[in-house]
Amino acid sequence: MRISKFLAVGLVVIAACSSSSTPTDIEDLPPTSPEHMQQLLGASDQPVVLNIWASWCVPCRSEAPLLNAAHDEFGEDVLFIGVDVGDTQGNAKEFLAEFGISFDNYFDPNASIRADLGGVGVPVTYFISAGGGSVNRHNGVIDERTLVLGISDLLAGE
Amino acid sequence: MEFTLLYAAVFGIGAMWLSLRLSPKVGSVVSDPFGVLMAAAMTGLFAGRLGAMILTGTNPLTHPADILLVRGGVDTGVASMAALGAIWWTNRTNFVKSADALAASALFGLAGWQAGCLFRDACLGTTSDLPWAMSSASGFTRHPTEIYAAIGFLIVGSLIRRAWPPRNAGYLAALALVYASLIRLVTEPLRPVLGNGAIVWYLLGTAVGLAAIRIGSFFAAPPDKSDLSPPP
Repeated sequence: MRISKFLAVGLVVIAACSSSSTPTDIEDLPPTSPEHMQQLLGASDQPVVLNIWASWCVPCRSEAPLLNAAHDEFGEDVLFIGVDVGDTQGNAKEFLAEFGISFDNYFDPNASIRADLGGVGVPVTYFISAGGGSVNRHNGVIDERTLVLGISDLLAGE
Repeated sequence: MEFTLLYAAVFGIGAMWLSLRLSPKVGSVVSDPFGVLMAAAMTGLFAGRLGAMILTGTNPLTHPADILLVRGGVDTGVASMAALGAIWWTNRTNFVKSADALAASALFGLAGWQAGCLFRDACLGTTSDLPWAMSSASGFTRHPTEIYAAIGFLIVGSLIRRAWPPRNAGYLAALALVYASLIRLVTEPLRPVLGNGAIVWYLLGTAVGLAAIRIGSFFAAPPDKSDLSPPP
């Protein structure tokens, strides 16, 4: 009986932590293509962290807050770019609103950027040197240590 | 999907199991000590994952599948408190003595968990030119930070094991908390983390452990030698 009460209170507390933002004030994600992305990477005088994600991808949810925190910490020295693949604009905007993603994101329903850069599944994270020179790729969900090491390598190679 | 965390789990559980096998007298204080430590580890992992999700804005009820993504993050403080809570729950009548008896094995388990990084390419920390620095895939040499922590846990685990019996009830558990927190406090600046990592939790752990030692020695009754005399 006591356990049931404890669990019930716990469930109410967890449920109270839910956020239900509606992305009414977010514009549609601009479309991108391999040519556009190569141009963007080549023109960047900062190293780039490029993340391929989708709103339906469970691991992408776990790394979204991490990428946002990394952007807050390293955003002045590193350019963060997100590319939403295999998705709809509505779901993508809901995802961005839910996690309060503050870096630039593009829409790529056919996953042409991933095909161009190489990579398997979703999510994929690329660490790209300034000017688009060298690319290190991480397939799958990225953890804090791997993300910070990747960024640290980028900055150390400057 | 990556399953490299399993290496760390296998090493942690293996080290814990081996430590308990080498300390058979722990069983005279705690019944099923391996089960208790496993329950504590699993509870800590689960609660830590829930904590990390809630703190980063994900509702575990609406996204239950996210709980399985342990690699996505586990909150250190929540996990530690939940693990301690599990030990208390399973040994409510004998919590302090149980915590003393299990302290060394828990530290060995942490050492194994950290050493598992060798098999999942996850030992590296900040850049370093020291002779023992390890090379990363990109060519930079870095501190083997997780190995530092593993060695630290191994040493203090051995010290705690040799310190049996405790000078008063709770002494070894509190000492283990202080040691473990200090090890993580020292190695945290060498780890690649965002912000300050879990430094606040490690400071808190050190302070709570020291306070428990002080309070324990102040109010201590002489240890029950008949109960504690066999080295675990």
